[in-house]
Amino acid sequence: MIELKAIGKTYGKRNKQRVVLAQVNLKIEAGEFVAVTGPSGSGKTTLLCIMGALLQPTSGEVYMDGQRVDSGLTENERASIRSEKIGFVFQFPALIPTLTVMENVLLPITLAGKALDDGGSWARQLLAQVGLSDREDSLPGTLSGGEQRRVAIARALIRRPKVLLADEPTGALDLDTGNKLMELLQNLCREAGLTLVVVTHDPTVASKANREVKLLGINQEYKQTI
Amino acid sequence: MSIEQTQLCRLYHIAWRNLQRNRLRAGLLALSVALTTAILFGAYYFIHSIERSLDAGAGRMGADLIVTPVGLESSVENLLLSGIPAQVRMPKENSEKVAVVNGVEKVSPQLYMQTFIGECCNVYGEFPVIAIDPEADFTIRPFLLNDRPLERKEVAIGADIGAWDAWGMAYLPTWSESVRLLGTNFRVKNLLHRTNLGVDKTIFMHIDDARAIAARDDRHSVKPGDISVVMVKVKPGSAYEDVARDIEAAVPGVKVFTGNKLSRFVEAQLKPIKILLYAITGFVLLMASLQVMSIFSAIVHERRREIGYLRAMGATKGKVFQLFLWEGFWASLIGGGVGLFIALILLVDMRNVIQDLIPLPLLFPWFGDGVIVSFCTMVVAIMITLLSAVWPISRSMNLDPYEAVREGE
Ligand SMILES: Nc1ncnc2c1ncn2[C@@H]1O[C@H](COP(=O)(O)OP(=O)(O)O)[C@@H](O)[C@H]1O
Ligand SMILES: [Mg+2]
Repeated sequence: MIELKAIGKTYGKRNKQRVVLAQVNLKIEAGEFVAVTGPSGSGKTTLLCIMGALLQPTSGEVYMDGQRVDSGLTENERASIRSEKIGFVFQFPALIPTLTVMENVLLPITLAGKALDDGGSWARQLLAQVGLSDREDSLPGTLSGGEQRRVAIARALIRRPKVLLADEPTGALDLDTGNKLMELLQNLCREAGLTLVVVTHDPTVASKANREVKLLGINQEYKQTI
Repeated sequence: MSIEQTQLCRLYHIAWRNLQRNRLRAGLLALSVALTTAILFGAYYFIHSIERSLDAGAGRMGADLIVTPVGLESSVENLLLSGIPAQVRMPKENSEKVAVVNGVEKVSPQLYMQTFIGECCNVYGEFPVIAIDPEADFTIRPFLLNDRPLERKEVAIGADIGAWDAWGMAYLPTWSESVRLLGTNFRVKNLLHRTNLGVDKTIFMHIDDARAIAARDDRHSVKPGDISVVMVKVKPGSAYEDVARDIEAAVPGVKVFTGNKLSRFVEAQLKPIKILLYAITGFVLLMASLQVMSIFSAIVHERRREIGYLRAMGATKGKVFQLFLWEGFWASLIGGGVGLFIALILLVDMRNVIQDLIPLPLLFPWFGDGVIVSFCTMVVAIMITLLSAVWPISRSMNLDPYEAVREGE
């Protein structure tokens, strides 16, 4: 599903270069659940964004669903791949405060310029799955942090992506809420057969994954445990 | 939700809601556009008015040339102000003779009947009565409130006389007023825009009515075949002095005056005012544009993380761009509407006040023109807003979405 070949990422100008990723090789099969762990600043978010065609690697090749996405595509083509194949969940839910829960969930469809051809039944089903059926018309400001993240998950799934990329989705949540959210995310992806990549600090989350990818940080020794 | 259908929010809809995220800022943006619109509209209206009155002036009381019978020289000042209160007249054939002189484009004979002392349309005063040939007239036509030629048994009155009735005349189809002149009843059917010239106190009637009155009533000194002056429009490219000399040679017993001195004088006086107006308008637009830029810089800066999330969600740069432009559009539409409303009230409703304040021959545009102008002004104000928003938005678009997403983590 996702394949990274000899990925390198360097930030900064020539004299102040900073190597964040070097020679990262990774192959994630469809339906797999992969946890990415590592100390802060080790390049987890960078890696996730490279996978999601949101960031260009300095070297190497990125394949999504067999298609090369790191080069040879225009910015708009990359956007349409993100729109059609990838769902992102970030640490902050980033809902638009003036749109209702339902409208937020439907936002990716709006942004893709597509029509709502099922009358909203899929969106409603997703909201039911994240346990927010009764909050359809609420504004995000009236929801708790955990509920807002659940809306963000429903939003990430609305376009029926093949891959869900989550960057510390439980960050800033209390332990219990975080665990429940993680469980929900896993269940949804398992049911839909989605590939799930989660960046996390939490060893228990990592232990549930099929695989853990550990980034070791500064020295860029790269280790993969299977 | 009882209805099973869910409506998809459109970009413009989201933008509209986004505008409400910071109402104060949205209000300030709209207010800035409102002021821009009002100033733009006011300046255009004013310049347009001056230009129209100059245009009219050039072919009006100050027709390029005025042909008078010999003996009327002393009244030339009055002539320019179109009073023509002189009892010296000439045969109407003179008009036809003038018309065929080389370099003459149009002629319009006018006949001074008498000065009516009495009440017309609730205004008491001394009003020169002048007969014109509506077919040939190019002098008062540009000033008529309703752009229709005068018909038999109708009169058009100057702005001072019609002051009380102006609105009824302009907007009530059933409005009706009559006046008895020279033993005949006339319906007041038209009103002239204010010129701040003698025309404001003049009553105009159909030349055929004047001839009928003259034929019927021989106590009157006017003969059916008389005219007082011939207003002449010169063909473009012909020298006024040459044409004047040719007319005097071709038509015995007349004296020709160049009548455009007045408008040239006014034009020269107005020129600096016009330049100043253009300059002020330009600066206002520039300031409005800077204003919009700074407001939009703040908006996109505030939402840079959101922009990153939108891009991660698969929004193209273009879509994000549109989203912000729509926001600018809504704000400027509201602002433009408010600005226009204010400008229209000030200029249309208070035109008499303005004309009293500004002693210039202002000729306001027709109401229909005013509507078109308002529409254009609003479009310009909206365009300025959108164009000014482009720069800050596109700058924020250069930010890597990853940067936006990473921030604060
Ligand atoms: N634009 C950039 N310029 C320079 N350094 C950067 C830039 N973006 C990220 N970095 C650095 O790259 C490293 C990896 O960042 P990130 O992928 O966010 O790490 P993680 O998510 O593992 O905490 C960090 O040390 C960060 O400071
Ligand atoms: Mg990170």
